[in-house]
Amino acid sequence: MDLFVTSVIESFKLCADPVLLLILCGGVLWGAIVGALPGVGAQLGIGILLPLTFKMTPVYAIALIMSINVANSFGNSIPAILMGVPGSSSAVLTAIDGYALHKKGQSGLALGVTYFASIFGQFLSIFFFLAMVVPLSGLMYVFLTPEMAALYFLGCTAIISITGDNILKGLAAGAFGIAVSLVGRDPISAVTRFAYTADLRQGLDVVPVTMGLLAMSEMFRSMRQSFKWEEISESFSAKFPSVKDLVRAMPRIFIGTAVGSIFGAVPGIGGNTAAVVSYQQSKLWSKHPEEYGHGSIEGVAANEAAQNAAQAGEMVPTFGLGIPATSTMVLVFAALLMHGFVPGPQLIRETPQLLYAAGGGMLASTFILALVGWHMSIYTLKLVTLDRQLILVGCVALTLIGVYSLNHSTFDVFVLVLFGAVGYYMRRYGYSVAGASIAVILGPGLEKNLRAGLGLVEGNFWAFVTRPWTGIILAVAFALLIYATIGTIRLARRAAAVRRRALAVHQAKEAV
Amino acid sequence: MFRADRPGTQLRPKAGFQTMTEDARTAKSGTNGVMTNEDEEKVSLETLEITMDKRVDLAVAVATALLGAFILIESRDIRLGTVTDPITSRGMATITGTFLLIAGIVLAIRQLLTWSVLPGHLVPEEGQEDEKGHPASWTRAFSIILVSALWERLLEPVGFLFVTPLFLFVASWFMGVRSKGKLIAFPLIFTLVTWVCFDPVMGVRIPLGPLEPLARSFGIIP
Repeated sequence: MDLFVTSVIESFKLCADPVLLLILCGGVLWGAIVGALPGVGAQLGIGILLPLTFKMTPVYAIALIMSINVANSFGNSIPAILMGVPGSSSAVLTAIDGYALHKKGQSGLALGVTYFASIFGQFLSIFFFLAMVVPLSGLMYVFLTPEMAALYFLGCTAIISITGDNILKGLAAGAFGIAVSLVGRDPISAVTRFAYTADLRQGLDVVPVTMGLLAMSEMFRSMRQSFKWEEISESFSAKFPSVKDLVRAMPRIFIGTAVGSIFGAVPGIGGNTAAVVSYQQSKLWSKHPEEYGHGSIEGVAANEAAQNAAQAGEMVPTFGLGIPATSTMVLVFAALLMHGFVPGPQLIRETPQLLYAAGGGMLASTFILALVGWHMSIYTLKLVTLDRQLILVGCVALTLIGVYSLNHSTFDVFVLVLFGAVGYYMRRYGYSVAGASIAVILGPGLEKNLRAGLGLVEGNFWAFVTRPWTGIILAVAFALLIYATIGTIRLARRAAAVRRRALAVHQAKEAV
Repeated sequence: MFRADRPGTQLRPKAGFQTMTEDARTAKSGTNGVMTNEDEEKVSLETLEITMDKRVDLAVAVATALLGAFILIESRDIRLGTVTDPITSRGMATITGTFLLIAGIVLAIRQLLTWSVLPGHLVPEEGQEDEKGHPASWTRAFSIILVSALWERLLEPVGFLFVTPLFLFVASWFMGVRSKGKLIAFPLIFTLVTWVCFDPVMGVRIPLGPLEPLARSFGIIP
């Protein structure tokens, strides 16, 4: 309890640091910009700035990343409403209802409720994050290597839920990530594996690998096409919604915040499911369920509150257990590693300043967003007048320079470009780059703790899995695995059935 | 300069622009019950694109299998070390290699079995789709990858101040920028601003190549 209260107080104290506030203003602006630009998201936004944080103090660096994440989550709903283009997966439902409202001439209502729900959801979930993550820090006294191995396995179950339509390709991507993590020294016996050059002896650095897979590959993919953002935008006028409209949205915002915070914290579930469940529950309790999907303000509120609250929820396993379950959290994890910190229970006990930085960063960013978010949502649409081609080229250059600056190593840049190219093909052909990145991060920890844990119980596998905490965590992991597998298979089958029908229609047309 | 990919066949093209990240596609296809099956089917039918090259997909599957085989073979040469445990240094490599080998083979067989379902070399998209209504070119993306690799090769011998403007000029040209003002001003201003930010301001030493002695004599770098 003490640590929780201290965390809240220290987080608020950080909000009064003028230097931090200045940095966060930049972060919020950057996050909203990358969120509002179609096809650009948090992965790129954080990825490009990640190397630049190297020279900052860890507290400022973590707070800056949080601010990008917070603002991006709000910013990605702007193109969803005004263009029908979801900036991220969790904004898909906003794109349906928000865009429908925009087409009805109610852009101001949609943007205003989004702004209100985002800030409310984000603000409340920060306390949930601190309340959840603090008790986890106590586990460092209970958890030994078998428990940690079980935790890493739990984190790996997240891969199954992000495999996409083709599960086998998604799992192959995960295996590829683990294979990459094997390069270098064996964590137990210290023998080298797959180290064909001197550069490979210490293994591949996580930052260039994950940035290559997540950020660089997306830029290469975007560069397949050359067009102007202006071509997809249209003019609009927006008026802030009335108090009555906001009051009507309030219950949905509470539902969204609760669902988002809880679901976001479970590895393998995350923000997408949280947004969907919140929307579903909101529809279930609504007096106007027929509006959902055709421009429902309640639907927008529920979805926005949930996806923003899930941002803080997703940080619970990242900070508390050292398990990043989403691609954005992989980059947060990489940032902590870059500064010499290993996320997990030990981090919170030994370096609570980073927890305050995360909490303070989110709090201050939410305040900044509350002050400027509404105007930002109106003006960010002007960003589409920027030259997309030059921005993409500049982003690639900035990432190359940034990664070089980390270790003054051209080998790191080579790794970045190589994994960018590999990631490009993975994205194009349905292999999950997020799954591969999670595996790269969790692979070494899984192997190290599994082998050390088995050593602890003298190789007795039964004794390993029947340790109380290990057994509980493994049971949860398997339950989530089964849930995610069934869900993924069901969706993949449905997608395949639809595809078959579409093909049949297509073939019939061809025959005619 | 670049030949656009064959546009492919789009079933019931949907008006307007649509772009989605990989995760967005997953979420859209998997909104557990929010949309009815009928709605979902309608959306999918409207947006299904036949734009994925099955030959490349097969090649990627074969590459996956070959990578698995390579890991499997190489793992046999990994020393066991002095610390022994049930999994050993080879364990994870063997498991991953085997999985990649099997997955690659299954994916390749699956692609071959459905090879003749559609005429031509395009099949329904499984990966991240391009933005509709705008031609896409893999050669453009590949050219950018190549110039990025060249930037890495030339950074230390040629120096940042020479190689970066060149990279930006060539990459902008590949991206279809033809305005002389943009092609000249953007690389020069971007290079100068990033160098100033990284080197003198943030203290990150960036190689200047042949300009290094000159910069040192002027006291710009220590």
